[in-house]
Amino acid sequence: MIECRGICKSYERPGEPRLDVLKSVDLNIEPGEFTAVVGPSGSGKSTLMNILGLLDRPDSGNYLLGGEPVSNLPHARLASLRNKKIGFVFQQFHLLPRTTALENVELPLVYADTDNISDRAAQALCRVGLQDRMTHTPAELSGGQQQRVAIARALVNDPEIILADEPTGNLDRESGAGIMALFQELNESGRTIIFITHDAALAARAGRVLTMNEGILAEEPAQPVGGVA
Amino acid sequence: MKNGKVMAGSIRMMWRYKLRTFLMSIGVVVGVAVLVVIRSYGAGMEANIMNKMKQFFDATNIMVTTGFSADGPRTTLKLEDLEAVQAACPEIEAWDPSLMRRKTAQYRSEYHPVLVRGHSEHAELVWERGVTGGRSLDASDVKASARVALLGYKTADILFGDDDPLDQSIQLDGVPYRVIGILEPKGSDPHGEDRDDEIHVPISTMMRRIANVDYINFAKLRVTEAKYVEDVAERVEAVLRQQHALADGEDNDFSLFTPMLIKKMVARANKVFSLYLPLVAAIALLVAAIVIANIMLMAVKERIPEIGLRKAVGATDGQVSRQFLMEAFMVTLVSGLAGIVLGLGVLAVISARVDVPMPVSATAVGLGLAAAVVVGILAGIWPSRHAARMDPVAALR
Repeated sequence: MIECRGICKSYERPGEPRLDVLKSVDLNIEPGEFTAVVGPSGSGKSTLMNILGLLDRPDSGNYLLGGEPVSNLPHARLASLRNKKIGFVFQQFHLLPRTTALENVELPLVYADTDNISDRAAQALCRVGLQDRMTHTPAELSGGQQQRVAIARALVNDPEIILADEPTGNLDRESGAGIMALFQELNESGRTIIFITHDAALAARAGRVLTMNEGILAEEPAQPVGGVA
Repeated sequence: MKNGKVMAGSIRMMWRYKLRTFLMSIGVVVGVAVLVVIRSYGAGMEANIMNKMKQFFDATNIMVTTGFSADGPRTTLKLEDLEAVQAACPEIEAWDPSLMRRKTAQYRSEYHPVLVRGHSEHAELVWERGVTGGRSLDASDVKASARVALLGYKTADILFGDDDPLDQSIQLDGVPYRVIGILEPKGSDPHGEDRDDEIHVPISTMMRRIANVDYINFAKLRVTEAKYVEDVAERVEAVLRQQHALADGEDNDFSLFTPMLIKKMVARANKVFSLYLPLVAAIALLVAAIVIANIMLMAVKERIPEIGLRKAVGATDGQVSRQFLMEAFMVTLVSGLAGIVLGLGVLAVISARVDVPMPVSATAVGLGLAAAVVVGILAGIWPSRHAARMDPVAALR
C-alpha cells in the first residue's frame, strides 16, 4: 500500500544551519495495518505524515502509493489522490465554522464530483454515531463530537488510508478513548490507519508502533496488545 | 467540481458571514444605484427639456436674438435686417419679429400686469400657434398698426371671468385695444414664462404706439426644410454682420440659435448628469472594489485553515481560486442587482416628485451590472490567487 525508500526532507532556515527533518526514511505499510507513530515534538512525525498524505513533497526518495510513484505528480493529480485515497484527521479538527456537520462531511464529495452527496455524508455520520447531530454546527458540538465529524469526513470518500495527526491531542481522556475505539473499529473493518500520538498507552493499542527520532524512523518491537492500558 | 456547486457554496458563505457580506456589498449597491439614478435622471431631464424646446423651436427654426451688451439690452436688431436676411435666403419660408414690454391690462375694474408681445401676421405659421376663438393677426393689422389684441386664455379668464372677451375693449396704458382672438394654450416656455398669460399685439403697434423704439428683441425664422437650417444660419450670420457693418474679428452683436446648437446646449447643461456624476459613481465603484479586495484578503487570512483543509480533502489550486473568485463575483453581482433595484426605486420617487417621466436608462442598468461584475472579478483575482497558492501544510498548521 505504502512503500517509501530513502525519503529526505529538509528546511532552509535563514541564518541557521539547514534543518534535516527526515533523514532517509524507509517505510512499508501493508493494507489493513493499524500503525502508530510516536516520538518527541519536532522529530519529523508530522512532516512524514504530510508527505504520506501528499500534502508535501519529499526532497528526495521514492514514494509509491498503491504501487504508483507519486513523488513527482502534478498538483492537480495529487489533489485528486488526496481526495480519493486518503482521509485526514487533524488534532484541531479543522471543521468549517458556521457550517453543519452534514455539510462539513460533504466537503470531500463536493470535490470528488459525485452524486448522492447528502446521503453518503449522512451514512458516514451514522457510522461515527452522530446520526442525531447532522444539522449542528461545530460550535454546538463537544470536542469529541467534532472529531467524530472530522472522522466521518475522512471516511466519506471511502479512502484506502486514514492519516490522523494526534487525533486525540485536543480531547479529554474519555473522548480520546472513544475516538481510539472508533479507529480500532474502522481498522477491524479493513481500513489502513496511521496515526501520530504522544500517548504511549494509545500507541500500544495499535498493531504496529514506529518511533521517530530526529528524522530517523525506527520500528519498535511488537508489544503484547492490552499490556499497557 | 461543478460551477453550480461552487456558486451554491459561495451563496452559503455570503449568508453565513452576513456582516462581512454587507460591508463588501454596500459600496457596490450605492455605486450602482447612483449610476442608475443619475443616468436615467439626466436622460429624463434632457428629454423633458428637449420636448419643451420642441414646442417652441423645431428642426426648421432659427432664432435671432440681440441679447445684452454691457449697457443693457441691445437695440441693434432692426426689421430691415430681417428683410435683408429674407431677401438673401429664399429657403426662409417666413419670419416673425418680436418685441416685448410688461404692461398692465385693464378691463372694467380688473387690472392685470402682463407681458405684451408684438408679433407679425406670420406669427401663427412661424410659432405654430393659432387661436381657439376669433382670428389671428393679419397683414392689415400690422400695416395699420391696429389697436387689436390676442389674449392668452388665462389672461382672458383673469380679465373677463365668465364674459366673452371677443370684440370687447381692454386698455393698455389707458389706450383701448379690441380683443380679436384667444390664443391656443401653450404651457410654459423654456424661460419659465407662462405662455397662456400674455397679450399679443401687432409688431408695428408695439414698436410705435407702446414701446416707441425702432428695434426688436428677437425674430424667429422658419426654413422650408430642416436640412437647410444649418446652411441658412451661416448665411443669416453673414447678412447680419454686413447689415451691422461689423469688421472682421469683431464679435457678433446678435446670437443665432439653431436646433443643433440648442441640442448641444442642453447636452452641455446635462453633462453633469451624463458625464461627471457617472464618473463619481465609477470612482465609488473603484473604491468599492478596493474595499472588497481588502475584505476578501482579510477573509482569506482568516480562512487559512479552511483553505488548507479544502486542499487536504482534494481541492485543486484552481478550485480554491475559483471558490474565492466566485464569492467576490457573487457578492458584487447580487449587490449590483440590489443597487439596480434601489436605483429604480429612488428614480420612481424622484420622477413622481418632479413630475417628469424618467424612463429607466438601459445603458445605466447594463453599465451598472457590468461595473459590478468587473468590480467583483477585479476584487476577487488577487485574494483568490493568494488563497490558491497557499501551501496546505502551512495553512493547516
